[in-house]
Amino acid sequence: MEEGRQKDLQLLEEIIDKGLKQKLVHATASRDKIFEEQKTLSDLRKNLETLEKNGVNSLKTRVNLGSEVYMQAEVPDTRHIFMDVGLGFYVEFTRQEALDYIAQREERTQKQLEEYTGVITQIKGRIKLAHYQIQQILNLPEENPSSRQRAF
Amino acid sequence: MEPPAKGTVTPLASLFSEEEARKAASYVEEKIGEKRVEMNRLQQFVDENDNLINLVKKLPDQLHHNVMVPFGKMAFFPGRLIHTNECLVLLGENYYTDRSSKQTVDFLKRRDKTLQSQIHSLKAEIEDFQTEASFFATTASEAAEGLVEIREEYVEEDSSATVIHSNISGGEAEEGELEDDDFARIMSRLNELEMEEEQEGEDGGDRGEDGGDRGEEHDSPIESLEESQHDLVKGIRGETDRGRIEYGKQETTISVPMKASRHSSSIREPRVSESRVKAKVIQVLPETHPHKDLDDSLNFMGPMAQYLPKGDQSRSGTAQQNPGTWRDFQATAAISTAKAKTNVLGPQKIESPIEKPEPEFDSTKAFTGSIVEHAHILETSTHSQTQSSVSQPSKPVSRFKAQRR
Repeated sequence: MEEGRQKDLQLLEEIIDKGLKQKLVHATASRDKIFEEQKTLSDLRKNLETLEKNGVNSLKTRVNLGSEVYMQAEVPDTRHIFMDVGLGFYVEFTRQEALDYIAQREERTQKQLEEYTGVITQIKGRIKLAHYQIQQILNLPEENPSSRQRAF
Repeated sequence: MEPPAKGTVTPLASLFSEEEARKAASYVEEKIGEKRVEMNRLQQFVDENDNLINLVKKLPDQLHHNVMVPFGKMAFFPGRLIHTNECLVLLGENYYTDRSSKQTVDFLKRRDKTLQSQIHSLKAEIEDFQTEASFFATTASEAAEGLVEIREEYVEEDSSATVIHSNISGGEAEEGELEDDDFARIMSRLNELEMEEEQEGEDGGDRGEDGGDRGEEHDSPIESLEESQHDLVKGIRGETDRGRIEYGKQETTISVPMKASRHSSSIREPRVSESRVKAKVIQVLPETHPHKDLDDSLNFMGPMAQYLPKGDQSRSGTAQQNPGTWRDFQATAAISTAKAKTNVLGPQKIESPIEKPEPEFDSTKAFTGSIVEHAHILETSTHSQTQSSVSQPSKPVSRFKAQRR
């Protein structure tokens, strides 16, 4: 029966593995999103700072109409900018206000990143533990249950 | 009645394992799902493209459009669209080109065509997969039910010993038995009717006229008659299931002529079909009982009277070419003898033979093939027969009967 129990345990661990790996995948995806947001914010910040530095007020750009068809667009006044503050709201900022807002937003993003990284690390750790347990069972099949429990 | 059929019985499950069939079915369905997803994606592209075409068409209407110009993903500026007639279009592989609005619209339309053709091909693929999946599913269910494939040798003589390729379960055997029962039933019925006709004498006169009416109309539909006869013959000696269908046909025809004979209506139209059907049936009957006694053979000849044109009273309803084949075997004897009985037997006999829808082929070797009825030959033969026959009775009777006298 020891072998049977071993097999059961092994199966259980494999199942755990699958569950854990799924969680890992989810967590990694969420973290990637945060990364993107962070990147967007940093790009925006850089652009605004460039605009400020050069005292540029008007802007000519190309707008994507969809399916990679672009049309020329002109921004006569870049002093006011609308920013997405979440929940579908857009707030009109001046350039300087926008920069401040971006700074705050970046901080928040950073915190979120750290959180997600912690979760991911935890999941990875659990997976490692499961692997270790499986290995233990396979390597020491003759050991009595007490020694197996020690592995826990 | 049926000779022992030599054949093989193969359970379908042995050919297609049920599990495998189900696996294949699910695999194919997965593929279908994938293709569907792909198709939805393409459909989205098509919709997007259409929207873009409309937009690009409308933009040149104004010099400038006040828009919100995005600046990255999270911010935008209020601005204006300028140079509304010029578009930068991505051709692919990082190649861009400046195009006017009209040119852009054309470009987008060409893109739309490509997308549509892709969608069409995907649809075709999906349909193929679907048929595959349904085939697998039905096979799996059939295998689960324990269907068997029965193959038997085809024995020419016996109507029931036909090649049966079917995935019907053991019920196949039952069907054959049912048909045999039908045979027996109809045969007995026919026998009864024959007896009745022999007893009812004078009623045959009226019926004879009706028979004549019907006969006249046969001239034109002779061809179709031939075909129907062919079909009927085939049906009888062909597959049993078709034979069963023929049963049904013939049984309906039985009722029709009965009605027609009883009422001396002058409606020709319905009669045409009736007589046609009747003729169909009649033709088969001689096949079935060529070896029967003279009365029966006379009976067969009775229906032939219908083929003769009604107006031609001088032509006695005798040897039509149609019964020729079997008549050759028996008719001469029949004509020379038992003529008296013809009157009585005529129309009633017609019905009785009709009542025997499916003959037993094992006994009838006289009639081997298809029946070919030639109207003109019928008439000529009738003429020849007439001369040897007695003059027409005052009462209008079938020429056949007249000849018999």
